[in-house]
Amino acid sequence: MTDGLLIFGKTIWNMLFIDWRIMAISAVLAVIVFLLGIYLQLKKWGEGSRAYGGPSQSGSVWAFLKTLVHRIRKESGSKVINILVMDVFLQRRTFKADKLRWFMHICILYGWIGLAFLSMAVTTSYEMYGVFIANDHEMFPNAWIMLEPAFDFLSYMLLIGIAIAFGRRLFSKDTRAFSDETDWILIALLILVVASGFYAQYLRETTDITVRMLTSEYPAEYYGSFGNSFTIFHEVFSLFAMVAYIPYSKFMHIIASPLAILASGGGKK
Amino acid sequence: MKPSMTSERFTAVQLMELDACTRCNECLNWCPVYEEINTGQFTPAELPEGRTATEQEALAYSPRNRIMVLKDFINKGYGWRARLFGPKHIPEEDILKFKDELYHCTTCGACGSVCEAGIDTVEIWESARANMVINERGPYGKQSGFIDLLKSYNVFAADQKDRLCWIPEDIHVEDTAEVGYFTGCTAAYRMQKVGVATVRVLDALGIPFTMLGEEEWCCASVAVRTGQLGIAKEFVDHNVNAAKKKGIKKMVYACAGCHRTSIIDWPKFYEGGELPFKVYALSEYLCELMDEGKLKPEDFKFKNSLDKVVTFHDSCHTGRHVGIYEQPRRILELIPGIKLVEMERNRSYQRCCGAGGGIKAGVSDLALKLAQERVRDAEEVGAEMITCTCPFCRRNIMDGINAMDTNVVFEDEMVLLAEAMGLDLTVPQNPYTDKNM
Repeated sequence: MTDGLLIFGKTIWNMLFIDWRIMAISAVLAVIVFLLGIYLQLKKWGEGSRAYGGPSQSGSVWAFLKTLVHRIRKESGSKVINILVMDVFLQRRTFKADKLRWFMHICILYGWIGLAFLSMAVTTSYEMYGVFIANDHEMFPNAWIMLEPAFDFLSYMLLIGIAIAFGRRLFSKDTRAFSDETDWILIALLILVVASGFYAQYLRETTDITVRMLTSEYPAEYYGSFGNSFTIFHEVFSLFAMVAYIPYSKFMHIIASPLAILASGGGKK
Repeated sequence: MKPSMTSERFTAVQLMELDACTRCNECLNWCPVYEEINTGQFTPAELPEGRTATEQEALAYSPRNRIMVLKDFINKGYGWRARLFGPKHIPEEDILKFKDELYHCTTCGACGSVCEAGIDTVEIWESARANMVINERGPYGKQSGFIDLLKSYNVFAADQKDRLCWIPEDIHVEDTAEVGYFTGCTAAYRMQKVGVATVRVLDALGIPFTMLGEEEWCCASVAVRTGQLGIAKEFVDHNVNAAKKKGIKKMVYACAGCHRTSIIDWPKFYEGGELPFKVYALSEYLCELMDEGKLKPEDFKFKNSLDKVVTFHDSCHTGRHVGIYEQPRRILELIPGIKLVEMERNRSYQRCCGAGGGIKAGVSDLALKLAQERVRDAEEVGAEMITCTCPFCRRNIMDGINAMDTNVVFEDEMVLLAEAMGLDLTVPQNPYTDKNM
């Protein structure tokens, strides 16, 4: 183990720091690109009028948000909560239409959100807090190991969802006919993220510690921590494909669709 | 540089809804127009003669595709690339092709009912049509004649003085009353039996009512449905103010088109956005009276048993658009001798008869095909009669029946009710007697 680097008066294992630096820069960049895309989308939506036949709001983000809130507030608080739970979170409308598609959506959406949320939680809380504040270098890898079952569960959820999405296009003539490159690009990205994720995990668990020490110097027992350059590729790629790319792609429906459901009072029955 | 396709007439929420489409394709399972084109029952005039549409060509007429194309057009004018590098030109022929696809929609709203993202599709189609008209690309075919017709304040270019020429002499129409009956152009000039049945039922049930008479202008549905909104405000303001003068607090409708337009569209154009009266489908109003105990089933004093297997066709306008499904069925179930059966597609999943959205005028052969599909739906469940609360559906379904070898007949719900009550449905002789359908 090396002496590490001194940051804000704290010693950081130097190789962890390399990982951390790459990830931190990637995460910040991905979030900036994401926010810029969202801002441009909001400006586009703000070109519309507040009410039917009214004047354009000239691309005002603020005007759009006010319009949206105004529409949502047409419903009572309890109805909005009901719509949020039943139609947004549990996707009741999809459930009514097609159970298999509903299961696929739920697997992909919650697998994805769950992985993103847990990763962010671990990296921001345990890593930042553990290393910089508590000066406890073992907190982060411990947390990572503790949450491994949850990561596994969410990863398999995502895998099942993607397998269904892919399988539907493979075996259902209609689904295949109605799919175009937009759908295939997104499925391909998801497959790449999931496949690289599983492979990265395999490397973490099986690669000899000396190889993993190319990029990390956690003690050998902490196999779940950052560990190899492929892992870093997976993480950086995931950040850009699954976060930064959202506002610029069909993935945007993940944000727009719940808002549309809320704005339409749960949609036509 | 101005975008080739502007955002005019779209609301901010509608622009967001374009991005909300998940491309689940559920709308393809329910869109009647897409089904007709995809199965080769109907070929749009824009496609080469002598062959049916390919799968991809049919897809162009689907709700999903319209959303995709609109989203693409709007993105080219206002999306992130346009923000960074300027709007991208869209060839005019692409926009006109889209216009043709857009105007083949009956605006039935089936796509919106099943949309997993809750997109209010009908409003988007109508905004897109209004956008086309503003930019002198729409409307479609004969629909452009509506505005000329409406110069006489009704869609038949008839004399407004004759608006009440069909009212039987023994029916008393109050000068002012809490309840108003908005007749609609069709019942006033072309389906006067429906009008007579309605006033007879109201009279027999002891419900005092008033009518706007000459001051009742077209509800403006045909203009709004086809995107020709220039006259809408004038017509809406006129009708609402006329109703105010009559002291009307509850306006009842036996026409689904007028009903939908009044409850959904009038508030968009009327100053302040809130109408000074409540809007009811007639069956809804009668059910409310029954629920309040002010009207009892025995008050209908039925004299005749109709002894028919009847199926109820939910009009898109009163059904999917407004959400009235059960009240017309409750009224039908009161009628002695009627055996009510449901078509496989009913209520919010109903199949559009093809009359709406300007299709009857714009693409009449498509309207006829769709009507025939609906008649086949009725045949499948062994119905002898189709009933409905929409004069437009009545006209189109009857056209469908006439073009088929079928024993199914059609009758308006109010006419059935009046017949069962033993009311006299004779329409007094008037200048439009020979034009009645």
